[in-house]
Amino acid sequence: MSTLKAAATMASGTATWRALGTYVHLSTSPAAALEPARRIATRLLEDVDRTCSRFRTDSDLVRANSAAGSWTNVDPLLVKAVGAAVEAAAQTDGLVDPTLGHALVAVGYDRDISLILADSTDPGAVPVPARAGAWRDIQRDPSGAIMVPRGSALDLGATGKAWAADLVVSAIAAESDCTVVLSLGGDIAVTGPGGWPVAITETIDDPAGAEVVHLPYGGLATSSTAARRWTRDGVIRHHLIDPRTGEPTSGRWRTATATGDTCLAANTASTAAIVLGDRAVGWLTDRDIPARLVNTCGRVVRTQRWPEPRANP
Amino acid sequence: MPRSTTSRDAALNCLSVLTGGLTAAALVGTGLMTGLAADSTAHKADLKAQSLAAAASARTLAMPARAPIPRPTRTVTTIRVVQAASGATGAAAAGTTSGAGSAGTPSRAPAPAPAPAPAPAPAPVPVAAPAAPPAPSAAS
Repeated sequence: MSTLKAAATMASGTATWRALGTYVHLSTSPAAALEPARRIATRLLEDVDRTCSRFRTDSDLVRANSAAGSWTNVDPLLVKAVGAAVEAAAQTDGLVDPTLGHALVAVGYDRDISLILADSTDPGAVPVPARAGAWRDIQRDPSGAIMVPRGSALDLGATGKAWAADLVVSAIAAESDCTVVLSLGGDIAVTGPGGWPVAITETIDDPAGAEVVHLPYGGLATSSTAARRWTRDGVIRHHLIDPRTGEPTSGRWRTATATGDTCLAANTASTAAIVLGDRAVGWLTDRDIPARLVNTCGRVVRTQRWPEPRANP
Repeated sequence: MPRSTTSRDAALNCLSVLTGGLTAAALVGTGLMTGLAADSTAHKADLKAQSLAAAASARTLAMPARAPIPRPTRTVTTIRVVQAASGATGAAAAGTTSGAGSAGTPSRAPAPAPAPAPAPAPAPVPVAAPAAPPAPSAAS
């Protein structure tokens, strides 16, 4: 029996809860591994929230942003998270930019998404595009210090969940031989024999439209302008910011799903695809990244290595 | 009593010398302080660079070889995706599960089989029936 079949026939367990302002879906096979895995995940996600949140006044990230231009002692965990964000920026030449903190506040994303009223009447602010290349000026000391460039503010929303998913799954794998999958708001990390099936939808409230694929290992992430939306000054806003304009993206793709050897890599690709718009397919193809894109009319486009829809038996 | 011209000139000369001396001393002092500060800054920068280099080196050593980008494959078995909690609106309450054995109401029946795609389909992974619910990848 192949390892794949072995994993598939073994009983699994699933736990769901909320963390980092989004949903958490953790599954293990065998099911007996679930509770230890959940304990690891809960602890790590609390640590990530405590250090990396932009909405907690006591977080290390908020302290570092407040002291932009000078070094701030922070938890080494935040240094790693910032390092992951800088890596994503480097791989996309700044399309996935961690210095969009001010831009996000300017478009109204200044508190946890659950606290932003859908019919907010707050006046819209002037867009704040990221200073080109500001992410290159982020200084890091792995022993526990960072320096945010003067005039910038970090936001790890673009990469934080994906990085955390990799972190949690790696930690669980280090303690157990189980197959484990973790979805943090759609950013999925898988490790262990056999991989895991993944249901892809644009929003969590729309499971009916799921396209199910099997992810053998690594990561898969979905980015969408259909989620985390709000209205400000009569204009619909969302959380995916084009760093070149400081405005929510308005390109042809509203949802992008991609895979990667890690969840961070997958999320980097899916986010970059949304920002790139018309150039996304070529960019993904050049990098041999399997991806599934949904345009603003709902039409699905798949890159070469993404499986085409298969007839149901 | 009026001072003599000689005395006044001598006093002015002394003043010039004194002023020049003070200026020179100030310049030397400023230079020394600037040099010391620059040395200190350079030393701190060196320490920081060494720290970063050491960390980068450690990270390079610890980093496993990158696996190729995984290629998702479509499961052979039809999976009915259902809403675990009827009427759930929050992400915490909503979930997905496989159709087999689920007590939920299928919100989507398997799509009718379309005509086989003309392009060769990727080789599917031979999964008989996933024992586990698919993990949701939905933006939230």
